[in-house]
Parts: sequence; C-alpha cells; structure tokens
Amino acid sequence: MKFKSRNLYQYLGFIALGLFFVLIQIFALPGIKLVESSTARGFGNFMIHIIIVLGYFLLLGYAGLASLGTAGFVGLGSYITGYLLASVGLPPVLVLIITILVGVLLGLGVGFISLRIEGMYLAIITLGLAEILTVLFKNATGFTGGVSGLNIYSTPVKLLGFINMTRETTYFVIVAVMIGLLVLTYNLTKSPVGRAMLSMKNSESAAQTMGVSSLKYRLLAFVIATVFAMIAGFLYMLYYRYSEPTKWNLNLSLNVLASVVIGGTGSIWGILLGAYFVFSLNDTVLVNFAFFNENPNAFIFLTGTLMILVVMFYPGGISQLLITLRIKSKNFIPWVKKVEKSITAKLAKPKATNHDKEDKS
Amino acid sequence: MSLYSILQTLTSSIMQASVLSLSAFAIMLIFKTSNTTNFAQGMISALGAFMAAVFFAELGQNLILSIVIGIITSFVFGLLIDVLIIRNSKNINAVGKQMITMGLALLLIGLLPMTLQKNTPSLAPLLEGNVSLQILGETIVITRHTLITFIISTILIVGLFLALKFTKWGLSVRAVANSEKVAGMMGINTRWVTAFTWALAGGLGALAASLYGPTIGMATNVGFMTPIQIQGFMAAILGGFSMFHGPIVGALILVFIGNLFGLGGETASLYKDLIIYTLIFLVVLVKPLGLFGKKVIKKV
Repeated sequence: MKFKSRNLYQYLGFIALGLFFVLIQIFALPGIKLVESSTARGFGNFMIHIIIVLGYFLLLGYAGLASLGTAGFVGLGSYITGYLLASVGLPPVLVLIITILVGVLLGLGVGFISLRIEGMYLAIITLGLAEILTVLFKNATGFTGGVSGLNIYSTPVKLLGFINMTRETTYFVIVAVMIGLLVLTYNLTKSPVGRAMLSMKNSESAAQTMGVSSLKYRLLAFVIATVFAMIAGFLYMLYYRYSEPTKWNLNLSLNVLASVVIGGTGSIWGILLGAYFVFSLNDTVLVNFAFFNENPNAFIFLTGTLMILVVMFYPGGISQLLITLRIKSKNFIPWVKKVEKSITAKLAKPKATNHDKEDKS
Repeated sequence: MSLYSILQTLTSSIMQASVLSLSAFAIMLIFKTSNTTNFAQGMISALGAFMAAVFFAELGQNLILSIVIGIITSFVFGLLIDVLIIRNSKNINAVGKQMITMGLALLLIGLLPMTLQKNTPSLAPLLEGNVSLQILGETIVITRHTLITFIISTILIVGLFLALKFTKWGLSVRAVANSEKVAGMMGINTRWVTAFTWALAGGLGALAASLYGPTIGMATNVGFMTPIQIQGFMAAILGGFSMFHGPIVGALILVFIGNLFGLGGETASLYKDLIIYTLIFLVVLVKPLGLFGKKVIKKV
C-alpha cells in the first residue's frame, strides 16, 4: 500500500491513542499512582471491547450483515483460551493461534449459512448460534466450568517464555494488539477489499454485476468479525482470568451493534467514539453523577434511545458528524487549512495532495 | 421410556407451548405488516407483565384487573411504537428497521429496572393447586394455572385465525401483508392496520408474559421473556414467515420435539436446545424459507 499523507495523519492519531492508553496504565502503577488502578482496569476492558467493535464494524458497517452472535464468539474465545492454558498447559502464543484458527473455521461456517438465507433472517440465525454456544458454556462442565464459570487464577502465564502476564503486562499487550488491529482495519477499509464490501452493502445485485464476488467478501467479512471477537475473548481471559456464561448474553451483542450504529461507518474515529460512548462513557464520566451511579441501567436506556434516533434521523452517526465538522471548520477557520497544508508539505511529497483532493470528493 | 413419561413430558411442555405460540403469533403479525422482525417483542411483553405486577403486588389490586391493565399498557406502547417510530421510517431498509427494534429492546432493558421492576414485584398464578387428568389410562397431574393458560391461549389463537380468515379486519391484514401499496390503493387504511397489529402484538405478548412470569420467578429477571422471544424467532424461521400458520406450527414442533429429546437421559435433557436449534439450522439450510415457505421472486 502506498504511503499517503492522509494516512500519515491517521497513523499519527493511532500512535497517539496507543500512547494515551499506555500512559494511563503507567500512571496507575503502584509506585506512581496518579490515576486510580480501577480507571486503568476500565480502559483495559474498553480496549477489549474496541477489538470486538472493529471486527463488527467491517461486518455491519462495510458488508451490511447484521449478526447477533458476537457475544457467543467472544465467550468461545475466552473459554478455549482458559481451557488450553489451564488444563492443557499450552504456551499463550500457541493458544492464540488455535483460537484464531477456530475463529476462521467458525466464520467460514456462519458465512456459508448466511449465503443461504436473506439479510433479515441472518440476525435470527446468528442469535440461534449464540444460544447454542450458551448451552455449551452452561453445560459442558469439563470444558467451561459450567454455570459457576472458568477461572485460571492459579495458572502462571508466561508470554514467549519469560514475560509474566500480570494484569499490568497484559494491559500493554492489549494496547499493542488493539492498535495493530486498528491499523489493519483502517487499511482494509481503504483497500479494494473494503470498497468491494461497501458496494455489497448498498446493493448486492449491483455489486455482483460489477464483478464483486458475494461469496468471497461475505465469507471474508464473517471471518474477520469472528476472528476479532475470538482475539478479544483471548485477551479477556488473560486480563480477567475468569469467564462465565452470563457475561456472553444478548445484551453484549446488542451493545456492540449499537456502538457501530451510533459510530457510523464514515470514519474509524467515529467508530472509536461510538465504542467509547457505549462501553466506557458510563464508567469514566457519568458514574460521577448521582443519578447514573444509583441507576446503572439508565445508561442502557440512553444507548437504546440514541440508537433509534441515529437510525431514524442521522444514519451517518458520529462519523458523519466528524466529517461535517471537519468541512465546516475548514470553511470558517482559515488557519486550519493553512496548518494542514504546511504539515502535508513537510511530511509527504507534493504529489500526495492530489490524492488528498480525491479522497475528499 | 414409558407412556407415562411421554405424557408427563407433553403436559409439562404445555405452558411453554402456549406462551411460545402467543409470542410467535405476535412476531409473525408484525413481520407480515411491517416487514421486520421485532427484537423488542420480549421486552414489550415484560413491560406489560411488570406493569401488572406493580398493580397487583404494590397497589394491591385484583389479579385479573392488574393483568388487564398490563395488557393495555403493552397495547398502547405497541401503538405508540408504530405511530412514533415505524410509521416515520418507511424508507429505511429491513435491516435498519431491525436495528430500531434492537434499540427499543435496549431502551426497555434500561428503563424497566429503574421504574417498574425497582421493587421486584411479581404476579401470582391465576388459580392455585393441581388437577389430575386421566389420559389413556394414566393419571397426569398438572397445575390449574397451566391448564387455564392452555385454554386461554388456544381460544385466543383459534379466534385470531378465524378473525384473519373471516373478518374485514383479517382481510385487510392479509391484504397489507401481501402488498402494502396495493392494499392502500384499494382503500384500506394501511396505517391503522399496521398500528393495530403492533398494538395487538404488544397485548398478546403482555398476556403471555403475565401468564408465564409467575411460573419462572419474573421478579428479579427483567429479561425473562427474551428466551421465549428467541425461541419464537427460531420457530418462525422453522415454520417460515410466508404463511400465517408457519410460526405457530414451528413453535409446537420446537417445544414438543425438543422436550421429547429431553427424555433420552440427563445429558440429552441438558443439550435439548442445542439439538433442536441444530436441527432447525439443517432444515433452514435445505429449505431457506422454512417448512411452509413460499418463494417470492425478487426484482432488482
């Protein structure tokens, strides 16, 4: 992929985001204590959810396939990880590879089922699949620990044989994986694959007429979403060292869907803000208000309401808002344009500005 | 596997079958007129049941009166959903409408614990005690509540099917289901038909939830109708959405065959949902439109 000036801004942004998350944990280390350790834990949880949302963003936002199986896949990832680490005793890297392989197979399976059924039934079928997984989580006691859950508190986990995975080191691994997947997702959306998926979303028949293989891209979208969810499950198990069936219910799937709907599909930052709104705003900001502190469910009400309003009146979501603000600010504040131009000139060859114009139009 | 255990399994499935049939009927009605699957069905039902429970447990009203108030609540709520939301989203595609209903489900999941469910009210069974029935020489014991639930839902569903077949309202629902545009041209008030089906679906759901709630401890579980809703969807895709009776037949197959699997021992009864859902997947893979599905040719 060619290195465009526009991409450079984005990568700088991703790196800044990663640094922000890393700093939060460093400030929360026992010696420094500028930030509460519970705050850092909240951000760790948030980043795991970002990974789920990124996979789902490609599936729903780009390929236009609404699935409700997400929570089941994340749960499966966490259980496979826990089982292989504790009962079989495999090293974490091998466990991650196995988890990803299972994700690929599962994604292919769901993708093939989705080819047979129409768009609207897909949500029901994937919901049924999540139910099947929940039955397994609850009853396959030898593998999942049953209703009381599976924990690996007493299993020491060593990454690459020497890094002891405490909660803090796992946090840094999560930051690295999250930023890596963020860059991967961003590149995919700007690549021919992403554009092909987007064309499928708008009209599958038209896309097929233009030579976009429905089979290939549907399967790809499902594989990506499932693998991301399984990776999130892997990280969840390493971070919390505990997994229970009630965690992986319909509410999680609905919330993941809500964050993609609220985030919109125009920009990856919109998705990140959508995920922040759904999964972290309540824990980081609203919990300071007495009302939200007393009613933890009030926030779900807000999410639901906002989701309905976005679908009905502002289908672009937060992304649309960001793009509009960007254009408006350029028109009204002359120096934004100037600064941007000077940075572009410094960072990239002059030719890149052409691409810039094309992207905006 | 004796005759007694088969009969006992069948009678113990009656509660689930009755409630599920009502829910499946509600899901199918909305699918037919608004062309979307209502993911908020379970929560709208729970709303009515909790309203009834508040009137019954906290305000000390008569049980029947409370349930009627609950049904009216969900009825009005369903009506409002159509008038405020669905009516204004005509040009949103089917998946977008699905997302609206998912948003509604989240909205109610957040709203109920703050308001109606706050003091964990619960409903009582309609009638206490058991009855013994003589079937094929075996004595089967079921609760009076189950029996009366079965009678109410059978009467309702048979009545609704007769109404769909023979009344003017039924004709207009079938016309809208066939093609909303053409129905509108023929002078049918399609807005009213759609609004009424949403309201009716809400009311049926609230009745189902009020009858089902006392048997499974609704007080602490705000999503107690969600499993029924999911089974309703599975039943609907098993039977197919294209015929009105599809989802009901699907519901009966799902409950009775599922519970007969449960007779095969302890492991089988733990995994009966898994088995029946996998079977439904296989059916859907072979017949994507369900057992009674009719192919609709799609124009681009």
